[in-house]
Amino acid sequence: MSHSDRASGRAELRIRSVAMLAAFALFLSTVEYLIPRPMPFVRIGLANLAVMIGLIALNTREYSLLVVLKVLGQGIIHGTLVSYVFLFSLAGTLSSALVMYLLYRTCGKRITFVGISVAGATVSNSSQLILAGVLLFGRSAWLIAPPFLIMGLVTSVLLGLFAEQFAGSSRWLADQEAPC
Amino acid sequence: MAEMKRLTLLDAGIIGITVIAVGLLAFSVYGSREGTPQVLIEASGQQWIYSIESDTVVSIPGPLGPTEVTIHQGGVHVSDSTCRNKVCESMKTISRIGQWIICLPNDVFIRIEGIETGEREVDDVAF
Repeated sequence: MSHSDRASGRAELRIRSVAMLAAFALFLSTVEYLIPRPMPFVRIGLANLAVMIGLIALNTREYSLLVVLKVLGQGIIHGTLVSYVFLFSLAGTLSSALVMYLLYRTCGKRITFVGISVAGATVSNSSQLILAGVLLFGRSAWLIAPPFLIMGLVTSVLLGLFAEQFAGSSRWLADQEAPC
Repeated sequence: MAEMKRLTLLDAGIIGITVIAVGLLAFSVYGSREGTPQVLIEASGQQWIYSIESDTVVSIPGPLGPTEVTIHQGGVHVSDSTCRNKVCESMKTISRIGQWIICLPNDVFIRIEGIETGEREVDDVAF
């Protein structure tokens, strides 16, 4: 990447890539919203796929913007933006986005998206459980923790496999400039 | 189609640690399966304990209203609840130690716990 590219990239961000992935995240959460859930708090975390792709395609600032857009957009779609549920969404998304970012940047080829996805889901679920324990249910929150975390483990492995496959074969991704 | 990359050691480590952590958590939360089963109900910061042999219907107050818990022939189920989703009513009757029913909207937690019955006998194998 040349100096002028970098300068203009910094000024504008690659807003189209961010918008594309944010839209993808919201599309996926809408799809997930259609799928009936066995228990109210059990989720698949489909939108996390967009965040994982953002790890490859975006730089740090763009990635942060994507994460914020995902949280806000999901709050609007699900109508939870000004309810306490939004706190859970915020805690889950921010903690998992941070952990996935750190793993992706520090571990390089020693980790695949399966590991990144599982770590992100576990951290997201744990932080939500801790929040639930503090805010709502006290000690009883731990009762629902094991099935909640196991569900997260299963779905995150599947999402990670998909992201790994996508990363290796997407032409759209290959067209994106490497993040600096 | 690109060839699938193999999982790395770090991937396996993360999955392994998660599985072990969840396993330990599950064990500590649901506890041992020994002792005499009894029904423990927690709601709105209060606790109720019933014998699982007692044939009774109890009304537990929650933030949304009463949740009716039926204990019958060694099994426990929610027979009526004021919550919206009624997930708790659709859950199966529980009867073994470690099983639970939760009504999240009405903040009612029902679980079967084992209480110690006197001194445990020393295992013949351990000495």
